[in-house]
Amino acid sequence: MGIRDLIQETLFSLSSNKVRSFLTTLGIVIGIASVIAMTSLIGGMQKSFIDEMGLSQARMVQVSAYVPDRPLAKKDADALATAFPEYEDIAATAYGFATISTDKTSYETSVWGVTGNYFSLAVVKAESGRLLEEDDDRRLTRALVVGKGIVRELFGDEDAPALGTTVRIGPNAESYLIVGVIEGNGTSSHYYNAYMPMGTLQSRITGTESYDTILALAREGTDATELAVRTKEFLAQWLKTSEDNVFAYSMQEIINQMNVVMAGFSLMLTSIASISLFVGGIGIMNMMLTTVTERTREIGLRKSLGAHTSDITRQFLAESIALCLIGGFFGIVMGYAASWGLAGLVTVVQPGTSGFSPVLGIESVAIAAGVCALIGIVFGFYPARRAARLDPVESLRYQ
Amino acid sequence: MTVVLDVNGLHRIYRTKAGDTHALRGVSLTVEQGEFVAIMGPSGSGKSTLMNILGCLDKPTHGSYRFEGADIADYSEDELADLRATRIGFVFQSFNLLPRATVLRNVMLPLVYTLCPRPEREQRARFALHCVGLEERFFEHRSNELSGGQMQRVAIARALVNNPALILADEPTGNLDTRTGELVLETFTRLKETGRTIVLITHEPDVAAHADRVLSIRDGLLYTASTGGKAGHTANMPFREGDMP
Ligand SMILES: Nc1ncnc2c1ncn2[C@@H]1O[C@H](COP(=O)(O)OP(=O)(O)OP(=O)(O)O)[C@@H](O)[C@H]1O
Ligand SMILES: [Mg+2]
Repeated sequence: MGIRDLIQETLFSLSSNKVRSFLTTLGIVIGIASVIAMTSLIGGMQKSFIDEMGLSQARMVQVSAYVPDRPLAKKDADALATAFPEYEDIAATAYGFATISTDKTSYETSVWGVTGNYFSLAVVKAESGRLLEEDDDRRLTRALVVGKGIVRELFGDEDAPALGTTVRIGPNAESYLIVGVIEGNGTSSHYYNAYMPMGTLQSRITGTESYDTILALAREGTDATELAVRTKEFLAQWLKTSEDNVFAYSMQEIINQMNVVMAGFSLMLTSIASISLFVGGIGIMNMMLTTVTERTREIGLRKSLGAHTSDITRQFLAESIALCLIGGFFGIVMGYAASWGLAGLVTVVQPGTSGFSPVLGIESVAIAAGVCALIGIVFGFYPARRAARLDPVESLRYQ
Repeated sequence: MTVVLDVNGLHRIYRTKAGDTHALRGVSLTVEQGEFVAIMGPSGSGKSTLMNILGCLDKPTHGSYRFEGADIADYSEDELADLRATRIGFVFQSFNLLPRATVLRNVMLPLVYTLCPRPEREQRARFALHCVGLEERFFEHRSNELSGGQMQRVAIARALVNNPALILADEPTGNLDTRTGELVLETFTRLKETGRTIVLITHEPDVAAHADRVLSIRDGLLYTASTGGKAGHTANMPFREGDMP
């Protein structure tokens, strides 16, 4: 019996029992659908997180230290740059609390001071206007770049024309010019942030020389995680303090941690879904056993016409595998559709966030198909063997 | 002439919970190539049992059966299956068609288990159906939409389609009117003339008259009833006490 005959026979017998075939596969459909829905949701979340960060962000090492009376400062950033040629560029941020006010309203928030290279390092894009540059840092301009959340707080609407407006900040209510608005809505980490040049913040708002965080971008090809460890050691020595007071995280490490959490999460959900798959498999076995009994005469006939035992085994195994694969196909389609529905629900439940697009990798589809085929084999094997072992004469007499 | 069927001291005992049934009790029989043999006998006399053994579907409890010179006791299950696929055509008493499949599909079914190339199958099925006189317009009908006589013809066509050396037919004309029955018997006669061996079970003496030789079976024993058209055949029955071990 050739493979084409096998496929033809399988489709023929499954299609002559459409309703039953459909009902039987439901367990598989639901199991696969839930795994796929969750896989695509997690995939989408991870992708949107990484997209948000930008690709180069994986190479970013974030450094901070908490030593009494010894905050980080420019000299520390310079020391890092000298000690580690592996870093391509080093930026820094600091923040202070201030009230930003317009003629009509005021908003209390933290204001960030950033070095001139910060925005290019952090891969931030301006929706309108420009971002802060080296020149602003050098000339200590009173330029302000804001996220759209700040625009909303100050002007009532996140799309209000804020560009070119003068606002007042700080104890002396000095005037600052909004030179740029950062793109990105509620899910963006810059949404509620206001940025000014580092020097401007230090001299006019905080009155200190200190940095809060140093951001160092490792060169392409270096192991950022390992570099972060060495940076931490170096900085502890440099600041003459214990390593417990010094922090250096690579973003890669954070991504890895997130992946571990996500993997644990999907493992848990997969084990729940596998119960559905197991029950689905039992359903398949049950239907196959019924089919074998119903088709006893057919089996006897096929044997009398020259079918080998293996032909019968293959025929029934093919049927159960096909059932599972069909169930898997619908499960994948439904699960993917459901993941879009759930992602859409997030936007509805939490307005202001853009939500994210589920991502279904080809490998997830392949694994799902493989699992279905496996279920078909495992649960179809016994009924198929039972069919193949039937005695032809007895089967032909079966009523 | 070569001997196709050589049966010696055949016994078949069915063992059931209700007790043993000795369905065949020492049947011996030789059939040569190109012979047309009819077997007659009352219900329950063991005709179908004998047929199953001759068709290599069942094995005897005692006794030997040589098909085309080879002892089938030496054959593996798969070898017997191959023998049935290529050398033997069955016409079952109860047709055994696949009810939901079309007539053509039913007739092509045996070819699935042979090496017959796919494109050739339908052609051969159509030819076999023409041989039994089934009208073309029924070819795409599902077999459960046919009358009993039509089903019987499809069952015969299915037995012919693999061009078997031996055709075993259990009451092949039971459901047919005289005219169609004649048609089928003519087909058998034609097949016989091309060297096929035919063993046919029937209740009707008219049908048996087409055979070269008529045997009768009673209580699991075979007797020579008469010699058909082909005269001069040795009457070598009854095979009573064979060689029961
Ligand atoms: N599978 C079986 N198990 C038990 N007994 C059987 C089996 N098959 C046949 N028999 C018995 O063997 C005897 C012969 O049966 P068989 O079917 O060969 O008769 P038959 O000559 O074909 O009858 P009919 O003309 O009614 O078809 C009967 O008594 C029957 O009950
Ligand atoms: Mg019978």
